[in-house]
Amino acid sequence: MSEMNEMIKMLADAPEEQRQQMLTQRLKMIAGQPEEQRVKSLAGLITAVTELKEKKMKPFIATRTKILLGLSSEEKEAILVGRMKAGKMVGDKIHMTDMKVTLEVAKQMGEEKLKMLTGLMKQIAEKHGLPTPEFGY
Amino acid sequence: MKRFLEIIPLLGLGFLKLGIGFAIVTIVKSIKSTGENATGSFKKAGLKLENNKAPFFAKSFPIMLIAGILSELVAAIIMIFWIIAGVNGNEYANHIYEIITVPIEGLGVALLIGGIAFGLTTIVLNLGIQVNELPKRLKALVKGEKDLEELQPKSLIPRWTKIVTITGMIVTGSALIPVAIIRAVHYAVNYSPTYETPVGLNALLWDTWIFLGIAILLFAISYWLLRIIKWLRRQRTQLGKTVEEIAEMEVPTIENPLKITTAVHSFATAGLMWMFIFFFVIAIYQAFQETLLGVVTLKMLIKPGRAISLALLFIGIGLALLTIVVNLNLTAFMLPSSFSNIVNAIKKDNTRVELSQASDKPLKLSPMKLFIGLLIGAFIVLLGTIPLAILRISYQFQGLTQSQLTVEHLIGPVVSTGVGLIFLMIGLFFSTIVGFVKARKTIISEGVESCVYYTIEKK
Repeated sequence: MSEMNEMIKMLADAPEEQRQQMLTQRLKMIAGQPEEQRVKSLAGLITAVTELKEKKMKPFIATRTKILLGLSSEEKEAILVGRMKAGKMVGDKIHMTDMKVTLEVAKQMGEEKLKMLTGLMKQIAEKHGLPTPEFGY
Repeated sequence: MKRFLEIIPLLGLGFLKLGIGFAIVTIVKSIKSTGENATGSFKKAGLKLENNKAPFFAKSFPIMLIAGILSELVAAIIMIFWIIAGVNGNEYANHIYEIITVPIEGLGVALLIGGIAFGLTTIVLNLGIQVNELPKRLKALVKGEKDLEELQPKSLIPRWTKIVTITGMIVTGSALIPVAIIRAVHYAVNYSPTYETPVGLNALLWDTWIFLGIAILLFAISYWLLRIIKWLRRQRTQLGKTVEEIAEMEVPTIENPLKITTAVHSFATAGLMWMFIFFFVIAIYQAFQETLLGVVTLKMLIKPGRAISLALLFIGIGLALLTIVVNLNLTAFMLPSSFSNIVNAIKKDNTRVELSQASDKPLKLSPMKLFIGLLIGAFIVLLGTIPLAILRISYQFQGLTQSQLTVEHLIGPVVSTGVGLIFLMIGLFFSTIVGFVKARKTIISEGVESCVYYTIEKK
């Protein structure tokens, strides 16, 4: 099992409060990385997340989405650009699984959050000349 | 049947020890590649760094683990021949197999536990280098210094703990050789087995000698674990100071050392002392068995005596492992935010990420279930000896020797179950540690790489 898989598994098994604290620090750290490294880190992260069992995957992605929406606008932009570029690196299956669950959990958080997230993604994709993500609805 | 029942726990425990050993190999590999990745990144920034050569124990411990399990497998195979010889009534072969099996078993145990101890020594060395070098290199990177004072890796290994480890291995590995010699000589001279004779009691003495060796090794293991705790704590202190200096921000002081760390010293020392005292009680009994103390049924207390010592030592090890997981948890909290602040400082970005305050209840982060499992194991070990010893003594006073034998046969399986549970819990502790160490590798490797990238970009 790769280092990233071990880390994600450890975070997924941790209690919610601890997972949130550790993942916040981790996402902030990734946001501060140079782009190439950030894309690689996020590719490793989403690959490892999609390898979790569904029971663990959903709460993990819910925590990640909650943290993402609470980051500063620069950090959000850095993470989302990295995430979109990482999507190409990991292949359609992993990218779509992660995207689908992310949108599902955002919807569960409320329509407002879902709109905020999709709007942000569209806006950032346009700004950086990336293809607009397909949200499947 | 009795011999067959001896093979299963022997092999089972051997494989559990091997599993723990391999978890340690994984931890060592992960810590080592953390250092290699970081060194590679620092070299890209022009830092002149020497590669340290791996010492003897670091190279040899995986070989010791393999040799240990192979010895136990060989002992188990010979034991099967021993059983066949017993069934066929071949007395000569029966005794030859018995003479050969016992010292090989001892050697296997010494290599397996010694391999684990040397694996921990390797962790202590690699972790020690990183704890001392990482802050120094980060500061040098930011200041643009190229030459760094070289670290003496030998100074990171406590000499006495190393001596105790080697002593424990020698005692454990050689303990059963005299038994084999006594048995061989006795059989050659008398053409009769050695049981229930004064020579048989000598074998009992040497049998306790191997437990003394195991106790010394477990004592050494406790101290290697304590050293790991010390390095993990120091890593957070040093990293905090580095963040303070580079990012020019206030960093909360870390929590005081956990009180249970003191308990590790107490349990380890009490366990070893108990085994020493016990060993000398047996030795005195041996010397005076025909005279002064011959009437005392000390023989009945041998197994409970050993069990108390091992239970104390294992509880100490469990507490140390618990503290290591807590420290790794706290490190996992601190590392990403520390690197974020250092990276921001290098980028000349004034954003600072607040580092979490010292936890007032750090034990909340510990895998208490695993420790409780270990305690239950220790309790089962004691259950398999003390109450049974009392029963045996009371039976003997009543002259019920047959009942005494029945009770005797219960001891082995019960103690093996307890020891098996203890090893299983220790194995689970180590697999938890593997997860944290791999996470640590990712964070440190990526963190250093970012620091180096932005330093080069700044130039």
